[in-house]
Amino acid sequence: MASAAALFALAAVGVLAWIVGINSGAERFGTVPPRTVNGATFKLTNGSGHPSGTSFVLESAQDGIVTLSAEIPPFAAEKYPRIEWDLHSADPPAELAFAWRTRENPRRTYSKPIYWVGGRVAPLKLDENEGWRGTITGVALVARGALPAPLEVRSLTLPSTTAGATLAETFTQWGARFPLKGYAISFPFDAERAHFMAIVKTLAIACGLAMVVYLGIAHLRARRIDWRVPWAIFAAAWILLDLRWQINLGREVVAAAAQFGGKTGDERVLASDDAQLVALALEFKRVLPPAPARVIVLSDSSLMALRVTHFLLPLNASRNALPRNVERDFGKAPAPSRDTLRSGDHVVLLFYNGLRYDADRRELVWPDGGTRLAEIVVARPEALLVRVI
Amino acid sequence: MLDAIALALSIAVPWVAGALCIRAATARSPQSLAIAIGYGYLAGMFGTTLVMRALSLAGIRWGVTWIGAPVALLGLAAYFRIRSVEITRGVTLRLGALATLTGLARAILVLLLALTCARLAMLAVQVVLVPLVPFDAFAQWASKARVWYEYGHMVPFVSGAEWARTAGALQFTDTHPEYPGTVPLFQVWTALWLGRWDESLINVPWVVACAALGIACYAQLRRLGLGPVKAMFGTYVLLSLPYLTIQVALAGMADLFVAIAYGMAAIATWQWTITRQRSDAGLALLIAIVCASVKFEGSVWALTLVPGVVTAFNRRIGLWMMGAAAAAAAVYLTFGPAALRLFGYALRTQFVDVSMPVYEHMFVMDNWHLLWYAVIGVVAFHWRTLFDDRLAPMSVTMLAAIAFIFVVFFFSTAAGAVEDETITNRLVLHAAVAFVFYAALILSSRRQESEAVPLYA
Repeated sequence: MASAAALFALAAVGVLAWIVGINSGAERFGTVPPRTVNGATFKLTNGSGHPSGTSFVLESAQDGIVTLSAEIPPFAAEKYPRIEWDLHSADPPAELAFAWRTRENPRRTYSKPIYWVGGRVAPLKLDENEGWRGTITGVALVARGALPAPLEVRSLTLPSTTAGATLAETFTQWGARFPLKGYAISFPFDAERAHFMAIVKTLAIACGLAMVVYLGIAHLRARRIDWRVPWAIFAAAWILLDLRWQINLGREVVAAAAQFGGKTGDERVLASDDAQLVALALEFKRVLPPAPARVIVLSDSSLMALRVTHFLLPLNASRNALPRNVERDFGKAPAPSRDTLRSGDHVVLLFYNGLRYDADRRELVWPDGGTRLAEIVVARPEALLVRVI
Repeated sequence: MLDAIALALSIAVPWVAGALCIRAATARSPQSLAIAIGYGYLAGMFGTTLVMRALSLAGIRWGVTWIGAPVALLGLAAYFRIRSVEITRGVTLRLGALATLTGLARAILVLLLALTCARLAMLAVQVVLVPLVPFDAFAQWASKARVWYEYGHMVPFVSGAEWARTAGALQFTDTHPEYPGTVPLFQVWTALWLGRWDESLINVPWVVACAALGIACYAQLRRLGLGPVKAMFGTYVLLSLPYLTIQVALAGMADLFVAIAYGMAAIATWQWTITRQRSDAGLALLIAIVCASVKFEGSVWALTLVPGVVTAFNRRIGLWMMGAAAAAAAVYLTFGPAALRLFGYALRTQFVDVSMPVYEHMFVMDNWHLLWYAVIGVVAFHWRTLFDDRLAPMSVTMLAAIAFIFVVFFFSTAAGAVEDETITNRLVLHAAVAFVFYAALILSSRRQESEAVPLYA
């Protein structure tokens, strides 16, 4: 068993060294301090926005583009092969790119797309072939297309890429928390895409290496293979992986206890991440009639419509299932047909553009100009509950 | 405190009744009590939903007494049957051979058991605290449960179009009104005991089912002849799979029950291919029905057990059947219609390459720890024996399961959902329990061969 542990540890160290080797910069054993440029340091060259504290908030595009750039103290590209943007947005833009200029080729602007992974921007790895060479003199953030929501640019960081810093960063990545939010039911480990190497792959390689070495040694020495050794290697790798997962689970339990502990069922629901939406639904629910009276929830956000509908149950509520049965439709829901609305039906309008309520005329107004008489039951800045007359 | 008692009873009544019924049915066979306990929860909960459906049909409003009484009576009848049957204890394998273990083995066993219990405890706390989170959980499962709980019977759910047409009728709609009611009925049963709707506590069946799966898995592994440490390691591996635990931590979706039911049914089927005991066949059939009742895909999963059964009767016919199915699939891909609606999926003849997200989720990200590396390794090392008399039924079952996943991933409208990664892990999860046991079977088979000891002496 000791030989299994030793082989596995050696293999793991070997793989770790390889990860550090390919992810560190030119000066692996030198001194490369990290650099951070705050969002407020950047200047807007296209679009609209404003500095806010140490950040810069981008609000809208001009001719379909927003550009934020900064002149920075020049540095050698090879020392900083990675960059990290700290951006925040409720609804990130579809197309984002990092752009830069070099002293050697000042007329040319190089760029590389930026991707959102697990609610944050994935770090960018840059190399010579993409133009990340020579001396970098300026950097920029470019967003193409309309901004669905304000984009807060907090900072740009050029992390240190010495061997020690890269090793520390590797362990930070592996030790990061994986929050158990709604998206986690489909892709809980999405953030691992941004890791130097996912821990499973690392341990699988280490496991394989250790087993091959053991089998090789046994073969060369004409020894009988003790199959307990490969199994011990596998078990060690599995338990190591699982300890990480157990710790993550423990963190989630602590977070859940802080958020929901000591509360009643109703209080827990009102302590959810979307508590405002729940409160709104419950407010509507108090004034709505029982089934079979119908309630149609309309929102451009399918998720919000579904959440409100859920909290309206067991009233006869439906997110916009009109005029067709919407199946996993995350797009904008169409307005219900006028013909299918009956007197006494209730309609919730929640951040919805497909149907408008004219308070002066007491009418629901369809995009084609068609109308239906309706009266307000509850009016809130973000939502409206009306009853069809 | 009252909630805790109510929850305990909502768990205990179906579990004890289910375990007693299974024990009564298998009393003369070499199955352990642990198997009855492991399978008992799912069987008992399924029986409870049948009672609920019957009451709903009869127009009787649900109540704990109305539902619980027949379930408890059934359990009581099973108890008296067990007492009246002379149990041949001599052939029952003992599960706790702890006394024979070395100090190191005992320490490993305790470590694995502690890790498993700690995980289950954390999952239980998480389930009890966190209200429904996943999109599908409140869009198509709890939606039905919420309404049915309020009305005390199964009020119809209809399509959105029908709902829009018919104002004034007492009918509801959600994202998938056609989905089976078994899982929502689990939630209603729990809510009935609580006496109120609680967005967190209704999900307690998820964590209990997970614990029951652990017991069933350990007992079945022991039945294969594995020692306590190896059986515990297999159980630990199964219950440590991150994606499986996430389904419990973010409870509310039906996929966990499909995975558990399919896995348990496959294991019982495979035990039957070895023992030819009617009790194993009965258990397999019962749990396969549960699997089919949970989700539409459950029916297809249950059908993937058929080739294995045929192979168990006649290996040549079974293998020929698999070959014929593969040939038919090839002909369909060449000459078939562009799309064909089947089991809620539209089968397409056009190949959609989703191999990258599948690879990333199975081999790069931590969804499955090292499971798929291990399965591939075990299969590759034992490829010569996979289709021998003993392992052929199991291998054929797993081939059918792989074929199902492959078709859904690469030749159906679900490919979009695989590409955007919303179902990649969920469909794989359905087969994960079976795969873990299949790997253990292959390994135990090698041990049997080397030691030349019959499995069921």
